Amino acid sequence: MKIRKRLSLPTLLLLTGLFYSAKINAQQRFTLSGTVKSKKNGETIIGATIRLLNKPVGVTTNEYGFYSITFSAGTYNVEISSIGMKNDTLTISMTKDIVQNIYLLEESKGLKEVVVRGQARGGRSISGTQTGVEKLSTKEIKNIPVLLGEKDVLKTIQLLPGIKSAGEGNSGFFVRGGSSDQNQILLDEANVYNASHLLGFFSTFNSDAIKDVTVYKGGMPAQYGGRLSSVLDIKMNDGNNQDYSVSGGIGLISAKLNVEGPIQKDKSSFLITGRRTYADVFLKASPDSSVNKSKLYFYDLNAKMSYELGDHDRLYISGYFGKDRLGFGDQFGINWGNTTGTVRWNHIFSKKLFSNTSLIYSNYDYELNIKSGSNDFNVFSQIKDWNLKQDYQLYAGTKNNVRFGWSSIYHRVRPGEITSSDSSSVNSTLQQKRYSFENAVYVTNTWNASSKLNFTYGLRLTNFLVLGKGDFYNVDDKGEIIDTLSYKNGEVVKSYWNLEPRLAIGYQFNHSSSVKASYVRNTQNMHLISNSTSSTPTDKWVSSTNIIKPEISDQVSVGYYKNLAENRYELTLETYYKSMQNQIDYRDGAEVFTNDAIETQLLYGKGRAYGLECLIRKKTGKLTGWVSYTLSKTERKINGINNNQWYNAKQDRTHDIAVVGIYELNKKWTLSANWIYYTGNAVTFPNGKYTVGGQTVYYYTNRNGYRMPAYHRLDFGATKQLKQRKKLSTELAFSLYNVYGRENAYTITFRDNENNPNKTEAVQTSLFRWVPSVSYNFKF
Amino acid sequence: MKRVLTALAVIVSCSSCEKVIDIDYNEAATKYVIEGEVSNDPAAANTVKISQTKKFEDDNTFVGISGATVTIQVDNGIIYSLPETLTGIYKTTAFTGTPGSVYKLTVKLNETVFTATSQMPSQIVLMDTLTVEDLSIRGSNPKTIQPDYQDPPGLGNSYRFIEYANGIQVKHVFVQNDDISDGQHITRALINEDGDLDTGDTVKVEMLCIDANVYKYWYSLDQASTGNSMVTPANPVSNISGGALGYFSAHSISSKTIVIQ
Repeated sequence: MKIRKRLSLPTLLLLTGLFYSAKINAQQRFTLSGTVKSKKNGETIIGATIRLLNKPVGVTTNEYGFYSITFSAGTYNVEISSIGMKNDTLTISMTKDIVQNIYLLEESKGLKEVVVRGQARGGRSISGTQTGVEKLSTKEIKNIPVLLGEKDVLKTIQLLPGIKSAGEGNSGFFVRGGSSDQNQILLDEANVYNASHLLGFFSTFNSDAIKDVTVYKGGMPAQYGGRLSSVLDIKMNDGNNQDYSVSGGIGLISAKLNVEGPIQKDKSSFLITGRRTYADVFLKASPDSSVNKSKLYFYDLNAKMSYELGDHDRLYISGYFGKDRLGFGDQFGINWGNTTGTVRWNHIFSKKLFSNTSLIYSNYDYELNIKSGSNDFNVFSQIKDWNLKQDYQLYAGTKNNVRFGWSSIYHRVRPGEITSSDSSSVNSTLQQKRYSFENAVYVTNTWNASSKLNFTYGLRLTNFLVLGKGDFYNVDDKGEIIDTLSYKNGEVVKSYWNLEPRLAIGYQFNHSSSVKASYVRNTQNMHLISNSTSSTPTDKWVSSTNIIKPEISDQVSVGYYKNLAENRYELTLETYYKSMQNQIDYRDGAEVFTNDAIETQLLYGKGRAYGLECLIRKKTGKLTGWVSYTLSKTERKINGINNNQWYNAKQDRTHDIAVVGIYELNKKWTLSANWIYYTGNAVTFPNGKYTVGGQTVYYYTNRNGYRMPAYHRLDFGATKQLKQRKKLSTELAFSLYNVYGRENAYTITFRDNENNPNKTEAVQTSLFRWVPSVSYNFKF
Repeated sequence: MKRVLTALAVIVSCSSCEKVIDIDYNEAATKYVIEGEVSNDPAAANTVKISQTKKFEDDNTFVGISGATVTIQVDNGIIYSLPETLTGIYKTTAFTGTPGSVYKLTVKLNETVFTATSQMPSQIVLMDTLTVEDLSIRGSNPKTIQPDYQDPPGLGNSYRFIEYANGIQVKHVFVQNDDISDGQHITRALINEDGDLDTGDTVKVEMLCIDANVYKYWYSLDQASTGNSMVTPANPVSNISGGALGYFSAHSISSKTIVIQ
């Protein structure tokens, strides 16, 4: 009865304004709800399908494994499925509301258990309204060969259509023509500002700690917001609440260890995962004294605790800490890293209302140390967020699923602070701290209008408050400050309101094909400003100010989805058109580090991107994998660049192809290969040259008017199962990166010929050819 | 950062490799290049060189443009004309630059007028010493020249250094300003990633006190126009209006020489 009292929340429903009446009609209706978990380790299962046998009625579990489904009185056969798990069927007599927790057995073999989520049999893409979403399983991540054998979520998603690599061996990525900072990368809901290690060669995500990866390229649900291009939602494992287990691996450049187990069996668990690279060991072997005295490594640590507090409440505490260190002797050093922490409280208010409250901390900082003669100083920069979020999911009836909530983020950016010793020839200086408060409320409803037709419609209202204290500026067209305005502590400098509609329609023709369309508006108030050709840890994050406006994108997308050959193959075709406003770029010759008024160095404009994405996926059998093809265009038009004409964005690539195959040869061996081809990036080459100050200077006419040579590469991987016992299993993983040793252009530079300085030449540098790796993994 | 990347690539792959390639360059209309200098050195003529952009495949020799009318006006007063002494080279010794004066360059060429203004900094700063420093970031040949000087109080002082190793100019832009070192005794190495200095080399360094716009020119040139930049390539931010490339700089000049031990 207590529950029923709580359920009577008409105010909440009114608040949503969208609530579709789900009043009980003549026939009595009851609700089946609960949580789906893995029998083996107690991990909740995301995206498992619960449906009535032989009827097109079903739901999927949410990100905490919760489900709720309502139907009329009667006896039903309910099937619960999740790829990688054995199906389970229950016979349930609905004469009252039932709470049923479901435990699924795992069906796979191998070290890291295969848990493919959100891909119910019969094809994930067909039903519902969601367009532009990609999910990856840990199995796919585990088996796909990568550079140096370091399994990497961010590199694996680049093999999917519409997601482009930022460069050779790089974990940075571009989604549907957006910039790299327009991807929202969330680890247990915490924003990760710099998701790369070692200048992009590795991502901050240790795949051993990851439970689920979902990428939204378009049609983002209303609970997400804050970035223009994509949402990469990464969920960490909860930890095994059944048994202790230790797993780990030793690879060519890194070692890692994962320990998890119950704190109190069935009730609570912990998980700790650590990883450290030892590339610096190789550095020591170098005869070059500038190299062997250098430091170059990173480490990271993931930790999580989960508690079940009775039937209705669960508490999760998770954190991430990572650091990169790089140094040349004693004279130069830089370190950078992210720290995130998330406390989440799930509360099941009733069989139909699920709530999650999150308190999230996110921090990114870097520190640069220079100690050379009288230049003795360090530079520190930091971005720090505190975020409180509340999310409700209301399973309003068979036909409606409402989600609503709010989020508040307090940002503090310290753009750059120089601290120097007394004897230093550098002055200690402090660039102004920037404060802002980012708020959002949202509501969205998924309405299953009929068995074939579904709608999702929602709104997200955001408010961004630029706060004092500090000096803000008015800047003229030439970037000169014309006015300085001083604000007191906490004073509102500027308030930006934005309404973001989110609409999606799905129509299912039959059991194997459907068409969907979506429209989404996104806004972004934290901007990464970079003029480097590759990402660096010192690229500058700035929040919107009185001059820097929120970036806005509008995207429409239409998709066709078909399951072929009795669901063995899955075909996805999607097209999109995206327009972007208030895009930011540096002026020519911008001074990035020393300038307090960053606005004097900036230019603004717009962007557009469109494309066609095609994915054919084979999901079952000995051979699995996919072929992905993207045809796309992305352009920018910035006032003050390229004579104010449209130009190709750096990441504009016409064709992008990835072929991925994983073959289970036998119980011992799994083989894999991938082949990648893409049109070279748009790039600026000189159209001429001249001599000034005694040296050759290159003359440029068009921004990004040339292309890098096309890129292609084949990789092989093989995994051998050594031992497979209940207590201990071990495996060896081999990979060969760039099998046919193609010299892919990493950079093309121009210089005077060394022997004949009267001539100039173009020089191509390529990085990785035939990079082999081996790693040993264990679990007990 | 480039060094770091390359080092990393070498470590992990032992296979970073370079090769010369051919590129099919687009046709572009030529553009005039003006390089104008006024200095406080009575022995040096005030010189304006006029050339134009060349195709990438052409050689680097200077091909002057004749027939321009070149004048320099001092402090909005006397206008000096610079006669053409060699093809494309216009010179005068009729005046010597003085600190604090404003110079206005006017170049008339085929009905087009290019103008630029530069002020010689009023406070002339001289180098105190030249030293040789071992910089680990420079790799296996760490010898690097390091000038030091006293920056006068007040932001906006800018400096350019020209380095000659055994009489040959080092092809590298060295500019410094006092953004983070206002009023300090500044010691900042002239780091040249591509050039090695050896024991016994005689190195001469010229120090030029330049104005902020000229600093911007050299800074942006070094950032984006050397053919080997980490930022998106672009033309330098010129102080010449009218659509020519190049710069006009009124500066003081002094020099020191050191033999590397």
